[in-house]
Amino acid sequence: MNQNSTRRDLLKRSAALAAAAAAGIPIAKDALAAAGQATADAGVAWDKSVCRFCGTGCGILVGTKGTRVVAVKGDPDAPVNRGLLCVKGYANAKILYGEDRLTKPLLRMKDGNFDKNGDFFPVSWERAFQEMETQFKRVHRELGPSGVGVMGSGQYTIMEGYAAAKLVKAGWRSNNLDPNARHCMASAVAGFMQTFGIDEPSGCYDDIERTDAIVTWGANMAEMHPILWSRIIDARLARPKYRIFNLTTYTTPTSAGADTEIVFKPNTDLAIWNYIAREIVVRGAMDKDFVEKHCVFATGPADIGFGMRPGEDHALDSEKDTRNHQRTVVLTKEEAIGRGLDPSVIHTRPQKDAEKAGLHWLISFEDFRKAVEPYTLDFVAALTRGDADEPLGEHKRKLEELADLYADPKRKVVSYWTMGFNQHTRGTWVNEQAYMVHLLTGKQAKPGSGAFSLTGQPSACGTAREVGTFSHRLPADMTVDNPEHRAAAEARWKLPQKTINPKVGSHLTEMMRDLEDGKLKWLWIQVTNPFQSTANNNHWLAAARQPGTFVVVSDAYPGISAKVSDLILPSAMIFEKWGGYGNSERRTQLWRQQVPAPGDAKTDLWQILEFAKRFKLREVWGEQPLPGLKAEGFTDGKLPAVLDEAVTLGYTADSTLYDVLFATAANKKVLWPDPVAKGHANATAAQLGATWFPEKALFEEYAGFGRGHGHDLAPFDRYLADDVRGLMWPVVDGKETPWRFNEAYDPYAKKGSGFDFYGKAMKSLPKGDLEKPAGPEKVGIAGKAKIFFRPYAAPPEVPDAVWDLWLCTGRVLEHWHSGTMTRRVPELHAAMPAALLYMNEKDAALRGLERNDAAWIESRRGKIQVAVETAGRYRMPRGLVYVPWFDESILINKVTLDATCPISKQTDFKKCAVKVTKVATALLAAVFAGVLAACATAPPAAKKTETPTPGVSDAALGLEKSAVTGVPVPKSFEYATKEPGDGKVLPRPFDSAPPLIPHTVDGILPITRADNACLTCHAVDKPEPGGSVPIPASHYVDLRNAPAVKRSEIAGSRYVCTACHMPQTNAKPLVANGFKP
Amino acid sequence: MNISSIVVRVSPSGLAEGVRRLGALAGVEVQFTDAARGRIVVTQESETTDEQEAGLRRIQALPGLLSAELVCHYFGDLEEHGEGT
Repeated sequence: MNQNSTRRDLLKRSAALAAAAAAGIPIAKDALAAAGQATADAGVAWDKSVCRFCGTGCGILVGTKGTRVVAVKGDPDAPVNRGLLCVKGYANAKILYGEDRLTKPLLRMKDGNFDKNGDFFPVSWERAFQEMETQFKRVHRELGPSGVGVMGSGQYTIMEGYAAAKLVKAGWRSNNLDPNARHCMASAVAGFMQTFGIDEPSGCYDDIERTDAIVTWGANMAEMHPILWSRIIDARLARPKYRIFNLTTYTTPTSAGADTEIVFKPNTDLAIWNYIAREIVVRGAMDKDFVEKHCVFATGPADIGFGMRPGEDHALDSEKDTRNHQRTVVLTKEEAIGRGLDPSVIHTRPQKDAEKAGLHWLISFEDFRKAVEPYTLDFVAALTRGDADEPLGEHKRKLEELADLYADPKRKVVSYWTMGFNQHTRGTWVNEQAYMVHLLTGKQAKPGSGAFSLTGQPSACGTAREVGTFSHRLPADMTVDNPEHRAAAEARWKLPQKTINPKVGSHLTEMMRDLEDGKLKWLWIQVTNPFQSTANNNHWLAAARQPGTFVVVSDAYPGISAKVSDLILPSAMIFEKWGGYGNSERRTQLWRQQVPAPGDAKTDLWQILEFAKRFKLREVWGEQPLPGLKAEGFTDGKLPAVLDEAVTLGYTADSTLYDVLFATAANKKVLWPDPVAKGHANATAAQLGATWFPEKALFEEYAGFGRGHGHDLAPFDRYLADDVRGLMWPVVDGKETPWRFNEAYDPYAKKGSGFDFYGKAMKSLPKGDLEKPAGPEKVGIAGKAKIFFRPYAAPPEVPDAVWDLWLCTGRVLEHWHSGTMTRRVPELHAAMPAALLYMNEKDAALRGLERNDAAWIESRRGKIQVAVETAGRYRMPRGLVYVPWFDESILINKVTLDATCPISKQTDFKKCAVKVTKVATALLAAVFAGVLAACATAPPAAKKTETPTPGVSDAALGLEKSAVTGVPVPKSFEYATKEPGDGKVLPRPFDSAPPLIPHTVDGILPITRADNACLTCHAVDKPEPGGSVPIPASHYVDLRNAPAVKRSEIAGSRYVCTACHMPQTNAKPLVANGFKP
Repeated sequence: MNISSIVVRVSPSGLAEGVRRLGALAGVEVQFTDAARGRIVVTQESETTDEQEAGLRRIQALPGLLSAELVCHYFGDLEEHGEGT
């Protein structure tokens, strides 16, 4: 069959699918029959699945041919994305096929034995698990359950996260399980729990089309949630009165689509919210009825530290001054004003409430009014202006406009935020403040109105938060330090009483500190890369290599964490296993296994279950030492033996954790094979040799925790039905819940209440004033949400004469997190080959720097080299620089500060003080000679390692040899310089992938509402030979709102061309990719 | 080289007859049907855009049809033009 007729079939199928979507015909129902007919020649089978990347949760269709994924495309039936995907979404197929995919366990050895200083040698799974077990039991005997830990993930499937939680908490009786979501969503969780007493958003994505205004706070949605952004732009283009405000510390592509951009000084978002609250109160714009019926006012202690290590253990001399702020802070003038204190007096504040930062109490409305009173426009505008080159009057005008928007009772408003709020030393506070303003105005839990926390990861909600992978949590919002919750979990899990450890475990950053202190010596890392992603990384990279520690990394590709580990386990990737994710809007989506994993790579679920077979109850359920344990009903410092009661439950001392926790009588009744599989395989079941269906059994077991408790999931099979594209929980009587707490939509909201904030946590509180609670008596506030007052606070480290710039880190459109997957996709790599130091041109000039110069960026904690960018997609105000963290050659987390929000324990990656200096000229010349040489040649052969035989050093693994111990030389790359019209059409990655941009985008980007230069050439009716590639007909159909109408203008959701189409540099692939369409 | 997709509306009772008539047209393939609501999705292939328009009118003229609407239209060179979804 020739290429053209294959392409013809693909086009036909695409056209048919689009038409079916337009006509509201559920596609998958007919797909096997009709589409199967159409694609029989091409031999491609399609099945619905979910995007591997961000928290948006786009539905995708995965095309497979035999044992290979050959294409993906947006699922036109998926309500989240209606057929659209961003540049990363289209890469889902290629991420599986990087040439250095891990396919065998690798153990550090010398002379055939494990050796901490050895090279990596391929070993069998049996040998790998045997060493992992020996090392676990050595550490467990020495230190007890707190000496071992697991770092998990917001990218775990629901079943993987649940199994990990059960193994660590019920089996090993350790609470040292914490996900990378700690770096991502912990402040959002704490904000939800404190405000509503229950986790996760009240609204859903449909708010975008129903609202009148979007306000983004610390959320560069155009890059980080591009498909939701396309929905926002679509709504904005269709409705002239729709408004978009972007609050940010520097100009991003999101600013280009906004009506108004407000650039504020880092950390002063706290003051902006209080200004808005003050305006609402002063103008009488409060929704009094809503507030009286459904809300109470609250506050908590203000001197709570910054989540840093309290002492000087392991501190470099240069780190000590910042770390001292954990003990004592001298308030700035602005902080004093914001707390209603006399600013002419010096206020020295011991951070006495660091250990009880989350405590809070009720206050009166009068106290609240008094507290926000200092936040006048004049005070707040002067404090918050982030761009010194913007006139103060202009900044003031925009703040007033923002207050007008929130205060207007006739306008619906949605506030979105991501890492700008969550990665913040007052992250919980600033989350609470968003709810403060929405609750004051009654703009919460209503269609088109609400404060909505956007999730970063694909299952930070569905897995990390919901199944209990945080160090303090059990499934379904329960916590380990609550005796009733422990009892409920023990009953459901059929465990002896007092099996579950009541002491909250170490959070992710704390586990790193424990590793450095020798308190934790056995660590298993799954689906995450914490030795690249954790702040102040020089400490932890060294700690991993300390004698006596044993670090295991399960991953698909060798990242930085694998390089510093002792044992690497090869993991199956998303389409190589059954799974389920839950997105930001509470939508649970499941998928089938599509293809087998390569070589000996195995599913993470198999790894957890198989490893559990190596533990007998006598080894883990006897009396255990637990330093620091003090809990009612427990002897200090000890977990009791529970073996006797275990016998009464039908177990023996020789029962394995696999049998007790996973292959239970109930689970073994959930049989594999199962008709819901429709012929798809199940690697986990096959490799376990199980006749039961692990993913389904564990999903149903987990769902039992939430059903009837406001967190109802549908039956497993329902999610896999052809007419379902995920369901938003609670799913009651088969119906999903788009808006929670609202009687009209949420069956859990009491009839007649209108609104019922029914979350149960922290709903009994003492009363007090702005300083402290009055006494121990508590008042019940069932059904109500809390409006918190939180004062402005300065961060623990601010620029000074030596460290004179703010550093902010974050992601970019093209790369996912630490880049282990996306940097192995040639088109994504060529679009964004290296992390750059984005800085203001004037700041660069002051330091003798120009674009593409190599610079040192240095903090009190470490330094690296990076190439300077003064143009590009971000415009930095003077005094602030940005370096994304995806690039393992540019390990910016060697520079960042590990301060956290004291309530949520989430790190502030957005603020620390640095200096930037030019790299010596002699070296610079060498740099560019090196770059030219590198660009001219193919990737070196060493990077094409297959199975390293006989041994391979850690340096040879991964994309960057010297990243851990050395300072890699930064590289710079050039984008295509050909003018539009002169560019040669680049080959598509695969048939259904969007075309790449072959010409320069200088002067074309950014795309704004007023100016989309791409359309000038590409929006043509008829193609001319050799002319521009015309925009296809599919782009003139609005699949969401009017699917049967062909528009004369491009669909609004397609307006931001760069969400799907990428310009390319001359960067060669770092490793080859074996994807074949 | 032109490919388009068209949504055809018929009464549910007339679905089978509609499928038969549409399937008999040169260059037209029936891709999906929704029996409950009387919807048929077809693709149409032709050499030129003009032929596509003539083909659509030919479909619209079939007896028993309530409506026929063009949804997607791919045209031009197979190698370089068009977009998947």
